[in-house]
Amino acid sequence: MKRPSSVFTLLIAVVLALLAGCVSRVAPHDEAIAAGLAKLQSSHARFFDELQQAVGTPDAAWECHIAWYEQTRVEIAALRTRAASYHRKDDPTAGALEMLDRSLADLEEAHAGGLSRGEIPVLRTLFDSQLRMLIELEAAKKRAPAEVTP
Amino acid sequence: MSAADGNALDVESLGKEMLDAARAAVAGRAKALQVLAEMEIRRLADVLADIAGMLAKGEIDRDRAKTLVRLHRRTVSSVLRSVEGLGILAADDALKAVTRVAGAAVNRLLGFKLL
Repeated sequence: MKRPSSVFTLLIAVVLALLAGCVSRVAPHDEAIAAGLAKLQSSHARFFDELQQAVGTPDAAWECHIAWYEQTRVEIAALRTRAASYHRKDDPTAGALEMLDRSLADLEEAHAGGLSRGEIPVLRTLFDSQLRMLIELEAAKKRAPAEVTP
Repeated sequence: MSAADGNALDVESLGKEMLDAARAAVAGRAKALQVLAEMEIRRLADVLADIAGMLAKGEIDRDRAKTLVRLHRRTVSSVLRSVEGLGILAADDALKAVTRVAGAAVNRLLGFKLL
């Protein structure tokens, strides 16, 4: 007969193996999400560059950027649908994308009321942070352990 | 060894191997994750200070400041969800590494491939 400690260790090992077999809360790496996020990142960079150049002129008005907002909304909605298709409860990627979507609505509301020169770098930093972290998370999903790069 | 026969589980050595495997799996990701999270949070703290500065100088009104702070809160929430995801990935790696070690020991003990 095995000693209790041996049986206990065996039980722990079996429980760990069963846990490891469980589905992670994090959806697997998705190349379409990774590509979509990279596209959003460059689109945001261009948008804020143009806004910085145009601020103080009629070209900076929200009306001149309605098409960008519509296109960006569509792209984020597509990414959210793709993330939701993995059916992971409380998936961090889906959660972060939801916040990005709401942030875009806040940005549009602010833009419709007119943006000052000082606000643009602030807004840019907020969107940069969200997109950078989402891209980092998507990249880490396909990376081997110990390769997360700050 | 925990029992007299050759197939018995060496609990002490197995425990150490499991811990080493978990440490090795988490080590790289954890440090990089800490640096990344700290960098982003510091950047977001600077942004909050910028918003307060613009309000103090009268560059924006209170309503606009509220909108910007709401956007800032959403950004913090989004960034933390991503950090959470990176943390879960690190934990998943540790669990897989520990299970590999434990599974090999259990299979050896049982004499057939259970795990």
